[in-house]
Amino acid sequence: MITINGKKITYKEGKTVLETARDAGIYIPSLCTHQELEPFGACRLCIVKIEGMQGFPTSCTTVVRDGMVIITEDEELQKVRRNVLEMLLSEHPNTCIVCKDKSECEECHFGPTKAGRVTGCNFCPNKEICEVREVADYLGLEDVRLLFEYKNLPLERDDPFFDRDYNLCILCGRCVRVCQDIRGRGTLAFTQRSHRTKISTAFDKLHLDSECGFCGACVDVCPTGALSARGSKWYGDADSCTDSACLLCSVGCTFSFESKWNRVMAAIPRRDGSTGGQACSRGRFCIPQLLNGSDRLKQPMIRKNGKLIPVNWDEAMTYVAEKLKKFTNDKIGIIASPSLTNESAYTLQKFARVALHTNNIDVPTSDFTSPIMKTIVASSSAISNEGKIKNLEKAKWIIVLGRRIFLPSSALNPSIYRAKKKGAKIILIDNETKAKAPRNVDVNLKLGVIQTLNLFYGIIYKLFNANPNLVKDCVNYGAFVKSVKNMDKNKLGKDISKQVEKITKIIENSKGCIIFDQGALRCSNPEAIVNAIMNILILSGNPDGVIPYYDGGNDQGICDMGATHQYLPGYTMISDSASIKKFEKLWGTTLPKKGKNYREMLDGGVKALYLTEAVPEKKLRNIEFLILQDIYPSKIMDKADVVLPACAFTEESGTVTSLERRVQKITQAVEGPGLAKPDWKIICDLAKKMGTKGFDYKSHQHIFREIKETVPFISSEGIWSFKDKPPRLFPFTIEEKINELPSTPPRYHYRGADIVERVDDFRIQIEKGGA
Amino acid sequence: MKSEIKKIIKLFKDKKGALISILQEVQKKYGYLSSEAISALAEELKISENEIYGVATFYTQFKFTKPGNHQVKVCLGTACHVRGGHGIMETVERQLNIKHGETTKDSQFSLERVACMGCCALAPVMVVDNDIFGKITSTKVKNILNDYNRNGGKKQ
Repeated sequence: MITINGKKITYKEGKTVLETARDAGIYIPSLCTHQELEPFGACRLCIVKIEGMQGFPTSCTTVVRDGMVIITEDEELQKVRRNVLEMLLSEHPNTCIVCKDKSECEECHFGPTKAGRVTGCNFCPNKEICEVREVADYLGLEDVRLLFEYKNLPLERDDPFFDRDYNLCILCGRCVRVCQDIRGRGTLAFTQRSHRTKISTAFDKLHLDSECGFCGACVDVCPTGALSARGSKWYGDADSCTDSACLLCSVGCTFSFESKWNRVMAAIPRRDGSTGGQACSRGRFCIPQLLNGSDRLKQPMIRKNGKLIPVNWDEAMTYVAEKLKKFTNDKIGIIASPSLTNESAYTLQKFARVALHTNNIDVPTSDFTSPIMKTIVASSSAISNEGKIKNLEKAKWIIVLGRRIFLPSSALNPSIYRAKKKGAKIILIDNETKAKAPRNVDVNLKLGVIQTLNLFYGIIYKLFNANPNLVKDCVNYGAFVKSVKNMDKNKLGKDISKQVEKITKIIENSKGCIIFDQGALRCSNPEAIVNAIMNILILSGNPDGVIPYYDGGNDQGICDMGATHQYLPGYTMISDSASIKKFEKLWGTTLPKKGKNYREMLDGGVKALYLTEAVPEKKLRNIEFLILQDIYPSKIMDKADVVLPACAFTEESGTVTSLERRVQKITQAVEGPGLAKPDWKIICDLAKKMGTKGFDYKSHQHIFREIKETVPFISSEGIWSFKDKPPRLFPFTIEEKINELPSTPPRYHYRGADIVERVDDFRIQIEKGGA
Repeated sequence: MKSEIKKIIKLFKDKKGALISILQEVQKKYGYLSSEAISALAEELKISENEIYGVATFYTQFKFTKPGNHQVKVCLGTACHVRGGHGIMETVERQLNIKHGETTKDSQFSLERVACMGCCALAPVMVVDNDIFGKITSTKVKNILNDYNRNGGKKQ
């Protein structure tokens, strides 16, 4: 029990005075502390009086002890604080803060006025959310008695995404600390000293040349307008803020979308998400420019006499429904975009199976997702509720397959770095012989896919022989033991054997994680690699540590929903005639037993194709009828017979599933452009036009209720897992016939929108090699 | 350069807080901390070059521009200040076309301001390399610098 301002307050051990006071709803001004960061004690505004302690200790660096008697506010403290703030303001434009006519001025000045140089709050992009002003208001500062000195530093506007005006900087050090301690980058540092102290990079280089990942963490913590996002700085107050999630990759960062004039203007990371308020340049900065293009598809279009003519929804739906009836069921195919919501994906696969009686449905990323799903479905035991990204921090070692996961801005990076700070060893395996190892990597092996597989086999052999009893209870134990015993170690090669020793030494007897991207599976037998990864994780006691880094925002969810040719919702095998009865009964139809995959469909396997995302148009063969449902025009539109405008993820509500199997909500922030509709609505309308029953969904919640019925492991938002399944080992043999496929550079896109093409700043970042 | 820097780092292997000592050694070797040296250090020490630069700029002992053949120091201590040291500094800056802390384009001179040379009776004082010039005036400054320029470093 402690006393603050005469009130008795309970406290938590280890918390600081400032945290305890704030938890109890007592305001103490502070400009340098931040909930994400370690206490720093720079601004001296959070001083308090504590009985028995000399002077005014800073509450942010003082840990609470039992029986403390604290005063946070009295005239003496306020006077000292005012003096401190005056000194801060002697180097920070302050005319508006201490202006006598402030209140009248506020009434007629809405938002900031765009100006080249910021000379007062009215010209500051941070006007609405300025912490300096908050503190000045609290202290009732009326005058700054010190001479104001404008530092007259040049504006730094030559880097992508954000501007820097260090004339507004109060040197709180938040940006330096978030960059070094949370992101592990160290792009910003305090340079020079005394009056000339400045936040900068080495030799004032551009951020582009200073390992910056443009994650925007520094912009988010800046209490002043010194750092500001260029795209959104002049819009002032948002009309509304919507809590939602990002769908530009599969990490599943949560954002608050600020919208104005029915446009998303900015995406601010939310601290309650799995990545704890850390995001990447795509999510933090690219969304407005990516989704607000003037060339968004706004109207349904039908090709008449070789030209795409805008029509209304009814005409488009009637046209599509009639056309589709002309094709036999197995000649119609559907490509499910990995950027659909779970609800849309569920509706889409139901449409394929019930309205079209076909299993020709797949995701464009199936080369990567299908081996993963196969292994996960077979092996996955219950996983923790904390989530894989949080668990990543506890790992003792992390094997990363694919350099991309390491790119500075990746939202997984802070978690990897946190693990590293706690002593984890980071092992990067990639095949880019010329590239240097990223700074936080302990071991960088340059291995091809096949060599990596052999390395894994070697590790499995070692780990198993070191402790064969550990995995006795696992499914397939007998077969697995046999395959280990039959393994011919000489086939691995000398070089690999050396590496095996090295890596095994690091990972034995400790739990770790393996993260891999699509490049890691580029061979003729991708399943073998996923199996090997699972074996290693089970042998090291952490089957939960597998983290596939999908390219699409909702690859996991799409597969959960059964929008693939092998599975029905909830991974019910399509060939399993006993299990599919449940679905046949529910949907009132008979289900086809076979389906074509993505490649087969594009390679002439179907004649009518329904795309929910643009695919490379050169791959298409023998398509007679092409439907494109997308958000932007693309090259493939030249071949499309019908174009349907869909809503982007900021314009619809639903759920998505991130790479850690976290089902999370996305919420509509703005209206879709023109006549654009959410995907599930388009599909339902089409199904109704075709006279199919069971598509009378009133809302996305309605669909989610049905999903909950059919997919047993999804009950609500949060992490899903298969309950009570023991881990499963995978027997293996060293194959010599596996071929390595050429790797493809990563594509950054959301449905038909190529982020590199549409967002100039992102292109600049990519060209510099760091995304 | 990399191998040299590796050698220097080896001297301080596994010692914590050795960054400043390493920087001093690098400066001893090259005369200043170049941006290449700092990036090489960053790579070897596995910390960011910005962090190293931040540490180094805190201390006035570290230089970031290549020193010239002749070190010109102009005293701006109390006595020299009173007797017109600032005027001398301005003259030198104009003559060499650089600011203090910089090096001329032809790498002949680098200019520094110092606080006291300990010979206040001679104020204002300018020091070139190890030669002390006392009671100087703007005219004298020009001649002195010209002499050094002409004779390639030897005093007349």
